Amino acid sequence: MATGVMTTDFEIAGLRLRIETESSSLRDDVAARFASYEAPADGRPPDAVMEMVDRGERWQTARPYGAAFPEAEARFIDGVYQVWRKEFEGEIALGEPVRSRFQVAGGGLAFETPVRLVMTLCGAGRETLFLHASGALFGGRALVFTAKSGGGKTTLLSLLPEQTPLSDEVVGLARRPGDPADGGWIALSTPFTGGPTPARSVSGPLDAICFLRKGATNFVEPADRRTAFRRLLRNTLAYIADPGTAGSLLATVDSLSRSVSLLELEFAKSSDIGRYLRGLADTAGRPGSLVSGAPA
Amino acid sequence: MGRVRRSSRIAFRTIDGEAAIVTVDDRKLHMLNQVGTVIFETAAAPTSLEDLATAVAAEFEVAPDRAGVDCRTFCDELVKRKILEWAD
Repeated sequence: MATGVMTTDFEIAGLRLRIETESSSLRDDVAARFASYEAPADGRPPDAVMEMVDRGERWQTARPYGAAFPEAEARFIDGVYQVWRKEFEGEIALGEPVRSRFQVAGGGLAFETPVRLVMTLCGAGRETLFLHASGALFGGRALVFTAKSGGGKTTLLSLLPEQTPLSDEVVGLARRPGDPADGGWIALSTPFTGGPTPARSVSGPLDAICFLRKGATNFVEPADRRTAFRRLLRNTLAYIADPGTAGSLLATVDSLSRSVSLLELEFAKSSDIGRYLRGLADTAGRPGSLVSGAPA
Repeated sequence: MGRVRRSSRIAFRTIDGEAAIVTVDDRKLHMLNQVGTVIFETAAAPTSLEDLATAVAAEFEVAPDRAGVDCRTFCDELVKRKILEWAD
């Protein structure tokens, strides 16, 4: 039912997102999904504004989609992104703020991918990445675990019940100059999840990014930086189709890869990995440690 | 011999002396080795294959004739990948 434009502000990976819609049911669906990410009413201007039009449950885009288009399609034409998938279509104009307008199918989570698209484009120009990764806080500081699909991200997180989770699917990484001992990067939870319930909004200084492989033992060693750079880039959410934004993304990944510890982590599917990682995190910042960050 | 230049539809960054290039139209990442990076960097402006071969021979221990053949093959590949384009 149309009741005029309703506005809700969220904060995702430190970026302020304003969603505007005339649909109370869409507003309620978004608010329920991103409940932990509602922004305080502090007057901070948005980094991105999304206008969403609820087209009802049966609506589908008229643009081509299907087996040939398993992912969202993105085109950059005359300075504007045109993006679509079966259940949404829209346009995104880069700038301050990033402005977008989407039509989405109602009654589900059709709004979530448009939000991911907007936030990844918004973040690329603001030293903020969204990494396909799980992650958790150890004593308030973050270890992030990245891998391809099926590489163990969710499995590893499930073996860490004592830690505060950041996400089982997408972790935000943002440069926040501060204490040099922190490397200047923080990891933030996101509402983007492969499961039914997003992690609540938490964050912590980023101590290390671990590239996962499943194995018979728990073992960690430094990662080669060039290889790590390539894998970070490949595991970053990026629906980017213009050279300027791609250049910003490359610069951000380069900065990240120079600033934080990059580790190869082999882990065995056992609860021992929790103790192993807590021990690793406890050495952060100490001489000889593989993990950057400030000593506890 | 023709001249090549960088495509305008790419973004790149040099990582430890080797170029990482994103071609935005197919959203692919390409990593060049040191020789490839010299060719790519030299092609910032339209450059003949002869000049590229000279740059490679000056940087690495390779005969100019051999460098010329390798540059031609390499540039053909980078043009196919839409990292470079023929300038004329």
